[in-house]
Amino acid sequence: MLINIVSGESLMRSLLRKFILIFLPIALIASIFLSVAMGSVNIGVEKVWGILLSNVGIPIPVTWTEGERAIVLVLRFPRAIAAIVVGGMLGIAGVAAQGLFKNPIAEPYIIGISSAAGFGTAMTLSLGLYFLGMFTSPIISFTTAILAIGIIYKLSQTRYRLSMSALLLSGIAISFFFSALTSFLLYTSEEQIHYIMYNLMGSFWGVTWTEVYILFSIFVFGIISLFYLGRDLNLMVFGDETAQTTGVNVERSKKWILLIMTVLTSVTVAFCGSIGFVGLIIPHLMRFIVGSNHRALIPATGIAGGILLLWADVLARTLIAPLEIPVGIFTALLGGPFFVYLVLKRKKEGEFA
Amino acid sequence: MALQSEGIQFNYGAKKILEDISVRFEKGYFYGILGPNGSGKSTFLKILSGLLRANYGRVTLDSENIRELSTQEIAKKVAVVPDSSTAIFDFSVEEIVSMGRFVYIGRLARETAEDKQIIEGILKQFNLLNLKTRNFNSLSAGERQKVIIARAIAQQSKILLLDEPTSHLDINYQVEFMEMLKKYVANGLIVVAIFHDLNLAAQYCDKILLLFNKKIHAYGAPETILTRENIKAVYNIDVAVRKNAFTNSMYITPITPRIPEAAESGYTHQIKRIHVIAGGGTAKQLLPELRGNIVSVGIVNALDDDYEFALELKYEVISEAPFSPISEKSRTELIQKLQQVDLVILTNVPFGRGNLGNLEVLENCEKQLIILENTPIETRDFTKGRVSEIYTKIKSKKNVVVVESVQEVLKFIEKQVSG
Repeated sequence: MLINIVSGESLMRSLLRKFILIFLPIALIASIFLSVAMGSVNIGVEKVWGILLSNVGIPIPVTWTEGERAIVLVLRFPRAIAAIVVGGMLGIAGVAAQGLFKNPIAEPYIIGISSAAGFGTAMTLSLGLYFLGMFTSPIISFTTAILAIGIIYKLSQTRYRLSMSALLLSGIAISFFFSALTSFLLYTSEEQIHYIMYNLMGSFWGVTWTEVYILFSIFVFGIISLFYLGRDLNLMVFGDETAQTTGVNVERSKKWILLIMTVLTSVTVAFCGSIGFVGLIIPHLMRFIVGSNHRALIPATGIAGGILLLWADVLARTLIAPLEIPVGIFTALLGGPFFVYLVLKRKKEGEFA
Repeated sequence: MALQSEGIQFNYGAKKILEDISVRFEKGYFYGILGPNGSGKSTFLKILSGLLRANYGRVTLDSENIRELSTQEIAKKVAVVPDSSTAIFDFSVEEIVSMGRFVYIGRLARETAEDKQIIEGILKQFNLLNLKTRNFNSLSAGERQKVIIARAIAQQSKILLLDEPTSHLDINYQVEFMEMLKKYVANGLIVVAIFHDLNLAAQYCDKILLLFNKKIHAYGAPETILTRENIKAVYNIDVAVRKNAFTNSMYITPITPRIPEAAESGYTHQIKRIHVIAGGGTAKQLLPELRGNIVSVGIVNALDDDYEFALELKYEVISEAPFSPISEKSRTELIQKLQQVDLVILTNVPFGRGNLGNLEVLENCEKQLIILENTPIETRDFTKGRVSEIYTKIKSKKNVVVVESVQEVLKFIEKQVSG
């Protein structure tokens, strides 16, 4: 089915691709204003517009209350940016994972980054560590995730190359190991269990501007460096040997891509908890629309991931307001059926014997 | 520009895969690597392209050790076409051909006008212009192979290494493809390709490297390498090697062994001494069927088709110089030969004054004779009746059987064996 569309309507597809690439940034900006306006207290879009513009020094003839200003600037706006940035990070980390493992259903959590970081969070909270202030938990989770990937990396390094299948296998093993440790911590910390659970499940509640700046700078580093490796990823899809004989330093590129993916994913998990399926769904949708050329796919996924997670977060905080559903639960709810759809589609295309 | 392997040894674990491989590949030649499965052909190609490292020995590219060159430097000089290519994600034909420009394009830059021009030129040359927006995975195997080769050409390297480039192609694509490679070689490229098809290699390659049992079994021009002996030694099969009349290249045909067949049919095969009087190519069909017996052929002129065929099959031949009449010496030889054999076969030979001697000897021969007759003797009598006269006399003798097909000859021989 996909093949017919691609070959038969290639002109339409290239027009669609151009349209999407122009449409995405516009949709992103519109989404920011709309989502900031929405919530348990509704604030008009023109007020949001006015508050944001006046904040950068452009006066606008619209009035608003000090409370509305605080909601927009302190609560909703940083939260919206955080959701966008994390969505983008998870999206491009997903592209990296799929390219690296040459598997369309790989995602950034596949090698245990989220369970290792989750263990870090659970450990910090259950032991009540606070020696680095508000960054104690993010830094410890990031460190455990990087340590876990380091171990997996060492395990998968053979004489000449990094074995991707060894990486997957040891990643899955590590993932189970840390999940078990986290479960143990949860089991033994009766009183704090709800608090820890809430922190493990991804959410953007209470995000501060400092965190937004950190997330944003990691996102910029990630998207530029992955784009830098875009042509390497294109060729690596055809196999390591083809990539190497076409001039890609495959082993070096693999290590960089793995590092970028790990940093992107660990940082999001450390700050916002584990938010599943964004790294799977968005690259998939974007592949369908802009094709698999990583030089188009990476920017498109970076933006589309942001839009998706932004709206998922809006739903998460408005659906049963004033209560919040952790956005991680929400994306997983969305992702499960999507995954089933993928399986059905591939079955129909005869990819499963 | 030259690519050279010096004393390459490659081990996979404790297992030796290649041993002491030294070859020099030079500009303007088309090299074919042949050898049975497991002879290390692909491994050797991977060592040449720098994908694998030899345990001993080295590969040099213009006398520089390939291990001291970066991946990019190698890719500018050597392009590789793998034996099969699959992409798990969808890419268009144009995107894939553009990937060949990897080493020339800045990482954050787009393709320059020059790159685009080169890509367009290659798409045109490969007849891929109308397919350029098509999804690679929706193409046929032949088209896909073309795209992959186009990508390798876009690398603009002087050396092209190919692993069984024709194995997925239909015969028309095979020929188109080989002609194209030949053109690249004529333009100064070095082409080194692994082949399974001996005939294709024989027709197009300038040099053949025959690998067997981890080593170079033979190396040189196709005529000197693709001999019956070499092929028997390496592939363990009997073949007939002939010149193709149209292309003037070698032509190799496998000959299925007959002896086991006879054993299967229940007869204990008894080796016979058989003499065939042939000429003008009339024994072509019969001769290979007689393998397993002690066969002699003659008297034929050298360069006669039957003469070449008999030599190819390693039969004894009584021959005369080209276009010369039968001499007294050959005649005596034939008489002696006929005394030793169990059976004589006369094929549908046209007779003139030159080879009339054969019939004259037969006239006085008392051995069992089978005449394979497809056309009446009058139509192949070029002596105004003299031949027909002797032939009719021979036919009327009581030790003579006249048959019409090779099968009947074989049946008769079989009956004699069992009876």
